[in-house]
Amino acid sequence: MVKRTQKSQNKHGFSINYSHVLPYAFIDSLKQFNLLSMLKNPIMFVVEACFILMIIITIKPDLFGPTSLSRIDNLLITLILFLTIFFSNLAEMTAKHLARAQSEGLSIIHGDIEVKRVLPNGMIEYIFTSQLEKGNIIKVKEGDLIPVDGEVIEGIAAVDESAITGESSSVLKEPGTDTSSSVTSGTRVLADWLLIKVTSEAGQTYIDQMASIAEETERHKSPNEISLTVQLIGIAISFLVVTVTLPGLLIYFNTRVEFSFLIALLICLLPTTIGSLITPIRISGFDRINKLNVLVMSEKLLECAGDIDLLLLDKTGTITFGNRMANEFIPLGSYSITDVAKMAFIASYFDQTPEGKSILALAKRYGAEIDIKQISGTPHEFTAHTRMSGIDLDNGEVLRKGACDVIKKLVISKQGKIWNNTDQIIESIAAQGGTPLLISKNNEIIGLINLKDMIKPSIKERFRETTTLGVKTIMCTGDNVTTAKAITKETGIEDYIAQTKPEEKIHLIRNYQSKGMVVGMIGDGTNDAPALAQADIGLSMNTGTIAAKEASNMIDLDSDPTKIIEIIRIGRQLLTTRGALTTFSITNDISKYFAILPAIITIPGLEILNIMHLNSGLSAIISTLIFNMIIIPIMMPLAMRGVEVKAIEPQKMLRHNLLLFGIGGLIIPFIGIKLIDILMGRFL
Amino acid sequence: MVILLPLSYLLGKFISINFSESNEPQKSRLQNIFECIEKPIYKICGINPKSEKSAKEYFFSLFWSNMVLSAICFFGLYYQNRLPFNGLVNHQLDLPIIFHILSSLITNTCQTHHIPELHLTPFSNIFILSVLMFYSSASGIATGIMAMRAIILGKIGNPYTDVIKAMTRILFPICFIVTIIFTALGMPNTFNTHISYETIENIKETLILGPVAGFEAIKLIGENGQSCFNANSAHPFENPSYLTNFIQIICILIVPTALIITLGFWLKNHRQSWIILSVLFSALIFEFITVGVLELNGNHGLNSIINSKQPNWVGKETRLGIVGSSVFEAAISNVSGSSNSALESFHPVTIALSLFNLSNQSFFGVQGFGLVFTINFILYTVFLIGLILGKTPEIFGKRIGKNEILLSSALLLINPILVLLSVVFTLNFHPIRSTSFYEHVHYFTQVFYEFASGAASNGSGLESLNDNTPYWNISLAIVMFLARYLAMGSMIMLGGSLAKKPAIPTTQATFKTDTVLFGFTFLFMSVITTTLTYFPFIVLSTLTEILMHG
Repeated sequence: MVKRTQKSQNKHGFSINYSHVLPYAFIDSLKQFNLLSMLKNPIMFVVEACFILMIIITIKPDLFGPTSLSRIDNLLITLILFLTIFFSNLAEMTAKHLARAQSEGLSIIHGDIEVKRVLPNGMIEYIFTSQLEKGNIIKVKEGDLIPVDGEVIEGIAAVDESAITGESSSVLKEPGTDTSSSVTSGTRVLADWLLIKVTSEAGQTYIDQMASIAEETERHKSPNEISLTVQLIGIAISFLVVTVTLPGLLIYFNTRVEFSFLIALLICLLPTTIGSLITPIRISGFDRINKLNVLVMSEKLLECAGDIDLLLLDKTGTITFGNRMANEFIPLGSYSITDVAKMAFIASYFDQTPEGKSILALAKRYGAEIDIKQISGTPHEFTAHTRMSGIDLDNGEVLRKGACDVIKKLVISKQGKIWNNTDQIIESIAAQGGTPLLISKNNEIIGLINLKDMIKPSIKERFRETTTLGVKTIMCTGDNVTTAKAITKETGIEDYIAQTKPEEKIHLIRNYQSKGMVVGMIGDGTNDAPALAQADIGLSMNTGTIAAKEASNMIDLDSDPTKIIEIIRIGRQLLTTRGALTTFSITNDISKYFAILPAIITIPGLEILNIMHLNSGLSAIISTLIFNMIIIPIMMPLAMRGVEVKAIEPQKMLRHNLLLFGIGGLIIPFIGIKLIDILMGRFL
Repeated sequence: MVILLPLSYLLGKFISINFSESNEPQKSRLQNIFECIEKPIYKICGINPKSEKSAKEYFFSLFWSNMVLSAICFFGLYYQNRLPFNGLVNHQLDLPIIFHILSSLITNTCQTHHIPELHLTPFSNIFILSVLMFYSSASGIATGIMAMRAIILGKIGNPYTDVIKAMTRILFPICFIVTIIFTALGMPNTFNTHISYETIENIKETLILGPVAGFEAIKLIGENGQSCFNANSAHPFENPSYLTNFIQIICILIVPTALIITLGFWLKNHRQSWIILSVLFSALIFEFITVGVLELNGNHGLNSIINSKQPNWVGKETRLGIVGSSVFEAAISNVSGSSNSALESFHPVTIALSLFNLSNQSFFGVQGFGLVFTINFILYTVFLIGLILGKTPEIFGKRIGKNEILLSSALLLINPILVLLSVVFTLNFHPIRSTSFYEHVHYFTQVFYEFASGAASNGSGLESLNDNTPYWNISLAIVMFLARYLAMGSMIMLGGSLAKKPAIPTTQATFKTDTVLFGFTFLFMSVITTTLTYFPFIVLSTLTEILMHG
């Protein structure tokens, strides 16, 4: 099994290690010279056509009329064109290999492995994963790889999901719950066994889909990329017209036309920087999303995510863990908090529900762990009917923990006393969205437990960032207004809609969509499924139900809703990087004109055009071509990493990027070309 | 400016109300009056003013109505000597010049290869040319308004209604007022074709007259530039004084300015209009100052001969002065083919600026189409801005997709392809017969200007080009025709494509286009896009000319 590397995300984005993919990329870049494979990138296709023309000119320099250029000069130009295409291919291939390394790590079980199918009569037969059908039941035991996506119908087992989530701690899987009864292919059973009902056919698991999508994004362009390509083609045509008409003008002026120089002019004017990096930008963007442990179902979604105007969040299971957990002990009367924790521990030991377990966990944190074997008495297990649990100790003490009304009734029936402030505390807990439980000892109520649906710790305040990205966040919950308000305040979510029914979510989304908004929805439950399907971006939690996952078009394997912020950012980053490089490409052309035109237009007196004072015409051409070529590998890391998307006002961001890439693009080539020219003069 | 802006504001508001295609129940009294005039026209032409068309239908209706009108006028011109009201002109026109006149008028270019007072009968001038001038100008306005309305209000509308309204509600009323003013200021406005008189030296001379003031009004308001006299607005009858010069400049700029103000009304965002207008006006003022300074400094070569510092008076009317000519020049090279001085005699940089304007077309530009190109550059700008900001680009709340970029790129490519190819073709296959290098250089500038002006539906020219020949007439007729209708088609389709899209609400992440930053970006994009395409050509023409002048 291929271990996936831990998240390579650091504070400044992603560190990329090229060394292990470069040799492969190198070879593939040479293969990419095939004209047919260049067709999908019109800009680079033109460059390659010019490259072929230059080969011909190198062989026969005076093919297009008399020339002063030697074969060596032409060879030099040809060589630079070759390198330009090579670097462009290298950028694309590197991105591809990096993405493949990522998805290969995922498709760990692409090969057939043996599984144990449980037949209806209870017999077990050994078959291969490819023979499995939806609805089959399989048995997995300790050490087995779970080969398919499915639902646990029997057994409890610890499952290692680190291959998917990157989290090293194991997860407990058991039947009958929303969150922990679905298993994903590629995970491994650590202990015990499970019976799993297959929910996806072989080759259609999430992992398979993800791997195939990663491959697909190498081929398909996203909508904005298509628009940009069209624009680039338009720009290319205008420069083609210039280079085609310019010789006509020069002939009219009776000046010699160097065909190779015209080719050089066209190559330098073409937006080769963005043209060669446009595919790597897309592929590496997808790679970044995969590194985030988010499964994305189509290449279009990423750009769409960047456009999200409104984000709808489900509360239970998405923002919160989805089950109530003990949050605090509140002692009454003369009892200390440790006393209450101890009593709660003993009384809850006989409660097998998650809530009971959470009380034990909280008590442990107070150091109130007690070895229950040293206590002798008659246990009373928790049942849905009694709604309490506890123990009658042999020394006559009666400990109980349970719902408020039953405990109160119990205490009253024993003529015990209830503290005055008990009801007050009960009410205040309820008002904050918690569920109060009472603990009684004999005929006395000694304290309360506050059961709360806990907000996932990663979320705190994080959603405030969405506001700065210009995305409005709304939380939907069935809770009352007070609870909803408390949660939005804690998480940084802008707005809430309290006491919503599940079916209202979908109407809400439709309503916003009809106003032209792009709506994102994050949910995990079966009742969220319609809304997830309706939303433009439906992100479901990996802990969610199968229905929710199927309805959504993105799945977060770590079940961390704040990842949407990162997803939106990466979506925008795709466009920003393209925009920045396009701006750079276009503004570069001004200085390139100033460098090349004096070399081409040799009318006496027009030397003043040579404002950069380049050595000679040939030197100017070669320097500009080299600059044009070298800028591709220089910009490659930027394209792979993406231009930083800051959570600042659009005006500020535009100003910043325009200054950086627009003005930068205007000045840098002047310096770069001049430097190369000086170096050339030194060595040639 | 002080006078222009309030007038444009009123007109802009008026347009925004009258062309919005909304079914508001209450109408002002003015609207009722206009409707009374228009109803019979609709009846006669069999138009249902309320019927919405698709973008494709809109374009073809407009196109064919243009063609039918041209066909009728063709016969009118061909048989002009047999028609009444001949005046002093009594000969048949050649086919090439007729094609050129028609193509140049129907495309609102009004490039004048003929000499109006010699070649055309007063009948042709009044009943054919002015009809064409009105109609082509109205078609231009309709295209601009349609594109704007489709993008902002999502309505395509009816081409006939738009054209008729453009005539009845914009062109006729303004022309009426302007004619009265011009007549009052001393322009002749009469159906008498000429007066003969004897000079003091007893030589019989003929002064040609005509409805000059009326013609002048539509020439300027409609951005036509077709005039009664060859000398255009330099002719004393066409532009008698400083005051008329001033009014003429206002007339040229009023409709384009108003259309951009309409944009603000429809967007319910006046800031947007002011930002665009400030960009356009600062470009105009920059040009005016450059031209003014260059001309006031005078001709370096000439001044060194006469050994004094004189402004460059060559080719300018002393009546209007250097400043008057310069302002006019700055305005016209952007907008229309009128002229009050011989552009040829201006400094090469002035000509370069004009060439730039003709290539760019968005700085006010020709009637309606200037708006079209402005919108197109805005689209181009917001596309890049959208990418930089990481959100799918949008123009006035409509998302820009592949289709829009395709049409927008086409719109930007039409002009360079037509102009550059035809310039190079002409230079090499229809070269100047001269051995002088200077004339070679200047011929290039002339040819370049001629085609650029034709493709931009502008119509001005460097007039020493002997252009009333079959080659020039036919080649320019084709260029003008293609440039006009390809651009019209692209823009109408672009409008139609955006009209279908839902408007998206503005959020915090939406980039606001009514800001100074946008203004700068827009100016930058517009300038750089044009510069990149035309750089070698403009540089070559200007630099070589400067080189020649020393």
